[in-house]
Amino acid sequence: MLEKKDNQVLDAIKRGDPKTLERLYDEIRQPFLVWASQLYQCESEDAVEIYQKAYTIMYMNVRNGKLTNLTSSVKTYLFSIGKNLFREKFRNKHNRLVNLDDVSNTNAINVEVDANVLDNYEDTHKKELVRKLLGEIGDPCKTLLELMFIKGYSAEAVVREMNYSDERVVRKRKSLCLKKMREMVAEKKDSNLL
Amino acid sequence: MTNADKLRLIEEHYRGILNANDKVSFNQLMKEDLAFKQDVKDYKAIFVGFESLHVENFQNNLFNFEAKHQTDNKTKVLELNGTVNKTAVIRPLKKFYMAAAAIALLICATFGYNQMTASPFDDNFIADAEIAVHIESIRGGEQELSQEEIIKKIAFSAYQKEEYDKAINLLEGYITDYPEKAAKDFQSYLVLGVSQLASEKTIESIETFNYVLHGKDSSYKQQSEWYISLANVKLDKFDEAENLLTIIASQNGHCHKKDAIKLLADL
Repeated sequence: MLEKKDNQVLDAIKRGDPKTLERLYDEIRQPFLVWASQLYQCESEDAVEIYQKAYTIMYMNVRNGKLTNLTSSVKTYLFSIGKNLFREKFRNKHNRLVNLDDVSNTNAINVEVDANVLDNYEDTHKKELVRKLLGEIGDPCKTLLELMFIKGYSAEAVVREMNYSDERVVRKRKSLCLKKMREMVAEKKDSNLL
Repeated sequence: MTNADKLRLIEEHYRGILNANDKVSFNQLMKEDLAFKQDVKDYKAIFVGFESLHVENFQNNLFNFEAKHQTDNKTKVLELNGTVNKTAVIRPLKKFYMAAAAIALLICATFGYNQMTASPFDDNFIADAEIAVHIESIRGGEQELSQEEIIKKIAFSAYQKEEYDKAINLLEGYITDYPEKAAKDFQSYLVLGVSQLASEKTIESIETFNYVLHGKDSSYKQQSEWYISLANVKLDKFDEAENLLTIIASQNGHCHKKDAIKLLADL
């Protein structure tokens, strides 16, 4: 799957194709762990932790459009993030931290990464708020919003999954569900539940 | 521009994927359309919350991918051992000596293995001493303690000395005799739960931890989640344990994240 078709792989990742994500994880995992244990002499569980972090960063970079084109392979890109994460793990605390944006391509092999970059996505309060709202909003909004925002389904995939007539209906329904959710937030604010 | 288009702009703004043209439209609307500006503000919590849930879901998937490898590794070790045995060439006369030696070795190894290895529960359960620090004694210094605080202090001390039955008796008495105070005292419930778990009262311990988990004080919830996972492992309820461990392992700030990843691998 790798090498020749790396940019096709990026497209599949962007679509959130679960099979591609799993296959890619499986293919690169072993070489990554061997590389990490040889170069950094770390425990395998530490290597797995860094691998998963690198994999998540790569995925978020693709999803959010920071990585649209590769000049080398996905594997090389993942290794370069991993290298930076290992360096970050072992680095002197007083050194300068560099943002993840700086490693948006493999040329950035020697650039350092803020290992806490994933914390940007960890907004516990808002996450729990949305989880609570999803529990209250009821179907079909709950299923539709979960598919589109949490599982990353495209409108086309939602049409198939939820038996809608076309993507236009999905987009309309999504818009209405979000509006409903916004009203629920406002109600909670009014009744001081937030 | 329709409302749906405006909503798309807001969503893409929060995901950081607005293209150049849309950025211009977005900035223009922010300047000219007060209602749009309010929408952008109101939808922030929703889109940021969804993005956090998306990452959480993605990381749960990674744990599932990884769990498959952990299982594969165990299988490969077994298969590898099988292959070595199959391909070994043994001379006929030596065969019996080898077989006898193998049987002797197997008996010794099995005995040794049973002596050395414990269950995943035993490998991972530690009655954390830090949860039973009697805070009132530290706060009050030399001041006289109330009757119920004295009972708690003795119970915590018994827990620290691994006298779990004594700790359970005292804490159950404290809960019965001082229900109002005890109802909000989640620390004592946590210490009681761990004591129950340590003294084979596993089902009772789950009830106790659930009380902590559903209480209003979040200080002891992470500990309770971890100990409920262990209790389920002890009861061989592996699916329930794995579900909870996966949740713990996916939370970056969880105090038992590393323990959960290790225990998941052990399972």
